[in-house]
Amino acid sequence: MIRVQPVLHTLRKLCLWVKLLFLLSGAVLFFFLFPFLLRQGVQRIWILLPVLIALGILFRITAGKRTFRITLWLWAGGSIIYLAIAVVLVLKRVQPLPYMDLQGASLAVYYLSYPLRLLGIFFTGLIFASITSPAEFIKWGEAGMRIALAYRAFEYSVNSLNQIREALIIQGEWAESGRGRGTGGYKMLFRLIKSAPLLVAVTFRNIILWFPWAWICYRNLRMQMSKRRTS
Amino acid sequence: MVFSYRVGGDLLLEKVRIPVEEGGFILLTGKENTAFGFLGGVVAGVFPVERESVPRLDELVKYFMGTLDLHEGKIPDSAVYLGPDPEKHLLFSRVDEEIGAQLGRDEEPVSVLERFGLSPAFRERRIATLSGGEKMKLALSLAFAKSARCTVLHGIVPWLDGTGRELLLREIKKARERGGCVVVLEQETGQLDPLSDARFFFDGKTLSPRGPDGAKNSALENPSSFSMKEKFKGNGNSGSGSIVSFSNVDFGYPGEEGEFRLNGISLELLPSRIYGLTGDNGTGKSTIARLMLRLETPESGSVRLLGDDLARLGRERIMDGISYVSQFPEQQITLSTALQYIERASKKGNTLSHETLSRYFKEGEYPVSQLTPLDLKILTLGSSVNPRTKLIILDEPTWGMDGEGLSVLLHTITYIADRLEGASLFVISHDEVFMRNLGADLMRLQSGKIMRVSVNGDVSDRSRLRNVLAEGEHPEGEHPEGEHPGGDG
Repeated sequence: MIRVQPVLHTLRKLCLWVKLLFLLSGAVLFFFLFPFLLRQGVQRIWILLPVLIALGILFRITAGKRTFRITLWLWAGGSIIYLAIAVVLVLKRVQPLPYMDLQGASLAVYYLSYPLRLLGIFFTGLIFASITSPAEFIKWGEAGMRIALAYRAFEYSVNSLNQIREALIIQGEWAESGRGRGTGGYKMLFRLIKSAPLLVAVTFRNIILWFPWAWICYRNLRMQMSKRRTS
Repeated sequence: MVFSYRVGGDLLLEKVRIPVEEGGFILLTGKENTAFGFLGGVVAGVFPVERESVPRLDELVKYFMGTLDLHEGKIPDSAVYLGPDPEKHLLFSRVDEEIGAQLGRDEEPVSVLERFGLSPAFRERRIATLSGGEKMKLALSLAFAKSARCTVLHGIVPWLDGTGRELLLREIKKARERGGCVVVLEQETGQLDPLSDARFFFDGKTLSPRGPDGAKNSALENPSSFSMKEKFKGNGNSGSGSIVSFSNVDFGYPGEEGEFRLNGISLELLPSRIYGLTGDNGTGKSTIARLMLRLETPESGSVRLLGDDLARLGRERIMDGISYVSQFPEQQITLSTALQYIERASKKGNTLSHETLSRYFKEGEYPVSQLTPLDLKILTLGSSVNPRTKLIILDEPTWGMDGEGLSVLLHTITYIADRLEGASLFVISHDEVFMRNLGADLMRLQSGKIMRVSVNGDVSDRSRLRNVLAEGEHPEGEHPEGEHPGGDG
């Protein structure tokens, strides 16, 4: 049994540059390198799977059971919609990249592995979010303050997403985890797919409503900090 | 200082006169409208902001960019503003980071937290895991620790428990002693009144030195004038079974860094009653509501709704049985306008919801971004009721409300209660006077257990209770959980 708090504490204490490097590695591995890995042979992409599993375990530790579950549910809902589109793209042999010609199995793997690669990105990004605070960027001055605000907006959107999900549960518009056996499972999945766009749209709305006031708060904070520095 | 604040062609604040002086304590009360919401920010110099310094979201920021006409005096050169929503003032993820960023690294977090009685353990907490009251205590600690010349606070009292209110008075006193001026915009003014140098009444546009007698929220002081209790009693066949019952419920948030726990909670909510739940900040009052809504699952013990195990019920049954207005109602709004909710109620054939919403939101669309706290509460309440509703849960209903607004909310509840069979009302609040005036059976959550304060809903008993409480005693003492506050049924 892994003790969560010490692991979290250690990860949070890491230097911001190390954390950013970790974030960048996730993006490079699951997106930018992937087509080139695919060019080396379809079987090569299996090396990503242990990385994905390791990231999943780390994410479960840092973010907690509930966030882990919600992320997987959201990912599953989005993936089902995507896969329906992806099948059409594979059958029509639509080329996804202008600089590579993918055919047969490579093309199918490229499209169909997309949700898994996205999950890898989710895991990396959310682990980063769990162990990094917007406050860490402040030391970078004016630019850092802007990054802190943008990052805080991201954090706010994650919290908002969770609150809206609960509102939708209360209204019977969202699937509850741990429920839905047999046909109930299909109903849950249907609700999830139906309400996922609403969940995302309301989250965006809430960020837009929140942003102007947050902007003012950060602006005032910036002024306070420069006053502190000069005094 | 005397000033006016104009937004476009609209004069929002007209020749507002506030004597911001060294060591002064000014109390402002009155109509809780958009102008009142901006008044504190203008006094503290937060508004207006320059056009180029705000995002170009014109409809959302138009009030931020008004024109300030300063007729006399000047804006304090160092001021702090804290509004009624603490979340909007906390900018970071963790408590220690928030303190470090807002006050500088020299400030010792523990001494900051001590100002409002938060223990050193809070340093390590994530802000998202704090209760609403704890967030407000943290925001207040930060506001007073800045030692500004002027501290402007708006709508903070409803968030605070008894200790928090006492500490607020202490901080105001300390701020005055060091020559600072404190301006408080508040509806619950009872404890603040004796300390204040001057009190002003806001009529929606300007301030007058003294409000009309009884202007201080007649609804807050005497909600029983709405015959709330009668509305929730004997309305048809109420039945004798409980609406909601908790049996030895244990609960704690997994991975929570605090010490919060509910231990063996047992309670029973009977039909046609009004219940009030009070307790200190962070004791789990809102969590009780979340357990009733099955947003949380007990670690052990069971929660029943209308006799059935909540864990086994379909969501539709819970939606049918319980109407819920949270302490942050805007978080429950998932559609864009009130009109969409009215149309949805109509489409679903929910006549009660349709009628309730239509009588309040009469014409127009009412976009969510322009709704006041009162509008949001009515919208959440109206959209979640249906003719089969058995329990209405209101979490912190007095927050962000003036007397007039609260009276509208209470009238809406009585309107709904008139159309329900045997429904009960469950109010979560720090304001025991308000709940007693509602005629509620009072419960207190303390150290993870429910203690009952009042015994039952009988009028004579409650009258006796009121009399005795006025003398500072509890007739029955405080009874540990297990003896159901619903009492005799």
